[in-house]
Amino acid sequence: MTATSRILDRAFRPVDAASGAVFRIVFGILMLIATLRFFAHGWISEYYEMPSHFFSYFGLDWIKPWPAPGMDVHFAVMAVLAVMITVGLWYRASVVLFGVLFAYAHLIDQTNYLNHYYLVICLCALMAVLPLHATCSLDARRNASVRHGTMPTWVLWALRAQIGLVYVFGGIAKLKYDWVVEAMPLKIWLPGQTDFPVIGPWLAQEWMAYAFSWAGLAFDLSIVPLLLWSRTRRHAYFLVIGFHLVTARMFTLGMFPWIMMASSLIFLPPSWPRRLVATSRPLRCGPDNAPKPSRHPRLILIALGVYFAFHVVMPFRHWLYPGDVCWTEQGFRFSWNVMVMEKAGSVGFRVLEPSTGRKWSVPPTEYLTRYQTKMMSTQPDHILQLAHLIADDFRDRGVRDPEVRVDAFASLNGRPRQRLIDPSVDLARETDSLAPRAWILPRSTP
Amino acid sequence: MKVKCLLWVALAVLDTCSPVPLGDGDRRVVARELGSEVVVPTLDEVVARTSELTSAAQQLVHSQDLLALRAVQAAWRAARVPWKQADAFGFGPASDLRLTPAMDQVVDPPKIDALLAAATPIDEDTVTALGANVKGFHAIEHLLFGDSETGLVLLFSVDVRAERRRSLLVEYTRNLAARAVELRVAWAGESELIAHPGTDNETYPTVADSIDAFVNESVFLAEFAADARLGKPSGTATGGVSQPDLVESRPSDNSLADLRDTLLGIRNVYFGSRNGMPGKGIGKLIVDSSPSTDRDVREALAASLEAVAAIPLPYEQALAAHAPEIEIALNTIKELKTILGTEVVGVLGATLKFNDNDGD
Repeated sequence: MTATSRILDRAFRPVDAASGAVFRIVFGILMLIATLRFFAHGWISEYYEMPSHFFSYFGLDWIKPWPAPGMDVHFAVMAVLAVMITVGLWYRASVVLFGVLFAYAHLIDQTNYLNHYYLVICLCALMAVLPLHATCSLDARRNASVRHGTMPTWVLWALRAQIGLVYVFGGIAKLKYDWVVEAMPLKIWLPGQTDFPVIGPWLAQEWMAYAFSWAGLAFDLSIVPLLLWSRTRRHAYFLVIGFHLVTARMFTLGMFPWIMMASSLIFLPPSWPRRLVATSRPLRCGPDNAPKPSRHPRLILIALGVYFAFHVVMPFRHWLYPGDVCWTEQGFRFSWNVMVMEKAGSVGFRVLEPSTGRKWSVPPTEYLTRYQTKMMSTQPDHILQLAHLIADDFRDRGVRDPEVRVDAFASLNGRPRQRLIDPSVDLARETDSLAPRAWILPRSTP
Repeated sequence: MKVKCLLWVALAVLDTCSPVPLGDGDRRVVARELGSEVVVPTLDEVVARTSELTSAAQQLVHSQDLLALRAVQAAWRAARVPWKQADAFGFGPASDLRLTPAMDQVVDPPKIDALLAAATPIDEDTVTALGANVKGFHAIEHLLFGDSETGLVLLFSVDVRAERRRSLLVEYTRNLAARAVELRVAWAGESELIAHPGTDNETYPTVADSIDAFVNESVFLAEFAADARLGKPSGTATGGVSQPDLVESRPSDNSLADLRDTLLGIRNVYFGSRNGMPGKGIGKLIVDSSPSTDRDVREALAASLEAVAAIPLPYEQALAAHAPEIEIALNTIKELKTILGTEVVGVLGATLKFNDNDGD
């Protein structure tokens, strides 16, 4: 048997579909909660109705919020789709549509970027091709061709790989001087948590920041192998729960810890839900027939290989840019840079009409909400977008060839403030691209 | 048994490593002290001064002379001092109950004049029902400073129009004093919330949330002070053409005093005291972690106050005649904002707190 045959054999060996079904159910429930939180917290109005400008993603400036109450409807449809994913009704269509709507909502404004939104989009893309409705779903109940008690092993691999990437690259992102040697940013964050139960009073001490930094790093880098190895799996999962409960209580992480705790269940043996339920009553929705063998097994594995190769390369793309990724933020997003920095900024824009010498000072708050202003002030691509918006606005007001310069200062991980953007560069003339941005000043402090 | 022993040893080690009082900590102390040493005393003074303003206005009704008018004017200026210092805690009840706009909004003088000319009775209910741009500090200012000399004389003449004007002045000051009491009462509860963060406290679940509220407000306020009080009037938004109509307390020429008091409010929050002496304010949390940042903040605060004091009065004339002094003050306050918005926020980890969304 060749190596390829062995891989194919392992990948398509049937495993219990129960853990895949639980993954789908828990994912659907969490997405329902995540969507309803937007209504409960008034975020739909805050993010999509109040701002007059949105920081678009490169090449995606056509994605705009719907006119009111369009975004309410958008999120309401997402909530319905989340329920449909949970119960496994028209599962593939539901997960595709949910993923599209979710991505649309969160690609409107870079201000609101969060790592777990990216994870949800990736999971939706992946789940769309995975038969997670084979059991415990209305689809399986209604349609015999969908109904299977098993699924190919590669389905399990794919989900584990997607979740594992978050931990592994979250750990790699922490392999930085600031995190390892300076215990930053935890040295900043932990003293604000002195009212944490039991250990709170010690959190203001420096050694605690080091302990948390190194423990966090060790956790991120080791948890995937620990979850994969059967001898450590059970203890590792309790570690996952403990880690995420602590971070959930300590920091404002919203859904992220819960998504990770729930998703990590996929590392348990595939039949764990049946074993669990069997202790009280048999799992009723688990038929025994196996799915038909795939007609294109190699194609499936190649597609998965391409997909995950992209996800492995993507977080390293910041190496293509000079400087610290936390300072320049080129290649920062979509790379699992989870909680790796404390960065604060202050920005003021200056407009000049060269032909008359007239000058204007423009506070960002004239164009942005306070939250957008805060987020923009540390992110060079946001600053550039706002400079263009200001230039357009001044052109509309009759100012000829406005030049826009910026006084942007930032402080990264407790360092003294320094200029983030070259104040002599006319940002109105700079175009946004994926190329390195020469107008970002290098971080001067080590 | 071994595990138990190890746990006891670990607890013992933790205990010996603990210089921070259990259940308390610097930030909790600062959160408490800011309430008790800065917020509450400042608002107590606002209540006292607005009450004195009401008394002075009532005295004017009785005596109707220039001396009494000057006394009301002085009382108005005196009330502005703590009120503008209270800008530094313009969050919480001040914004939730919309009390700040109700007390200190830019007014529409023609609407006030129309009210004076109308026949509707002037009483507490009438003033309460008025919009924010027809009452408050600046409506009182309009009656006390903003009119022509004839208008001011009307305050102590004997005809019917004068009596109506005096009645409106008294009702305005009463309304202002009532709102001040309302704000003070509301802040009594808010101070408790700030001083006692915790999981059962929805507004301030952690002590970091309590501290961040003050820090973020100071950053916002420093920027607002620079842009709105100096920048826009001096023409930074109009290509260099000054805009005297954007001066905040234009009729009384109290704008620079207002700005000074706003800066003092930021200083008070940073120092944790109202007398300019270091107490247990935000600076207490900064000085240990980053002495250079603390020094920079203190220097920027002092420089900002000094630069504002260097702008000669009347401010409206200074906009054209003393542009360099105004530019220096503008840049100095912007520098203060930059330090607060970068290093202070960075040292305290106060980012991502303008909304309550997730933060991974």
